[in-house]
Amino acid sequence: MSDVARNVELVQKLEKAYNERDYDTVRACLAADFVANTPGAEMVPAGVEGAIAANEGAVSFFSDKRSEILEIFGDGDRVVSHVRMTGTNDGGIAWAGVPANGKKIDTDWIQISRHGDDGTIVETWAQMDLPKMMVQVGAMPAPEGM
Amino acid sequence: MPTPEENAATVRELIQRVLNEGDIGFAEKALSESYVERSPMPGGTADKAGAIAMFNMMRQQTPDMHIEVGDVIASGNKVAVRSTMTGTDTVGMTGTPPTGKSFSMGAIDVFTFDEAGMNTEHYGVYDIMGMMGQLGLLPAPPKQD
Repeated sequence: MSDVARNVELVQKLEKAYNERDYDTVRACLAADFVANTPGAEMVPAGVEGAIAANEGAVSFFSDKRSEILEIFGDGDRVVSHVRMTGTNDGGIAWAGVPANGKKIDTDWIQISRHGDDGTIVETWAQMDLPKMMVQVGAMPAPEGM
Repeated sequence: MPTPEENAATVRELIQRVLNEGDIGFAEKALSESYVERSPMPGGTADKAGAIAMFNMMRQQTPDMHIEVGDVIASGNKVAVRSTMTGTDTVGMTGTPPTGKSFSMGAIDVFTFDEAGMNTEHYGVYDIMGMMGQLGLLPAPPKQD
């Protein structure tokens, strides 16, 4: 298997592990010195435990949270994944001041991961369609024309 | 059939010429007639005309806009780009008066190409909330007791 195919497979395994809250697998997929470059990353601890805390945070907002990889490809030591996330706001989003209200979310993000020689993820960059989610939970008005 | 590297070069040229330099004519040439915009601007259409209207709007809204390309990842007919857009809010965002503040916004875009090397599809996600926060334009969250 090429390194790119191995790295793509690891990202798929990691996304499945986040869905299943299988944090032993998450820890095995991320390098010990893992860094997440994501807006909002300052709200969780750094590194591997921060990634786990971010997933637990999302589960606390949306207990039925599910993510699904829509598209994935790699080149060199990088993998690009386009991920859809769905769920129901039954926990409330404290940082945004949004109470639990049963509203459904259906949003997406794009992530770029950088993989070490052993395939584990050393660094990620991600952008999530947060405005879409904030509109869906009723925290922001829909933009004009939508 | 273009190589992934050739598609990546087209994306770099599209960003540089169209968005950084305002050469909208290059977008007319690089985008396929059947182009589909998966991330249209609010109120915009999801076709080539809508994409070109969006490029024009971005240039008008932030005349000093500059996109710095970080990573470019190309595979098969896909090209992903991680970039940072900087600029100054001198004209005003849709519906708000100009703040005169500058911003720096992270972005990730994915482009698809056809066998002729034409750009057929695009989607992207942008740190809009971060940009609005830097400009002081974020609505306050609803009050919670």
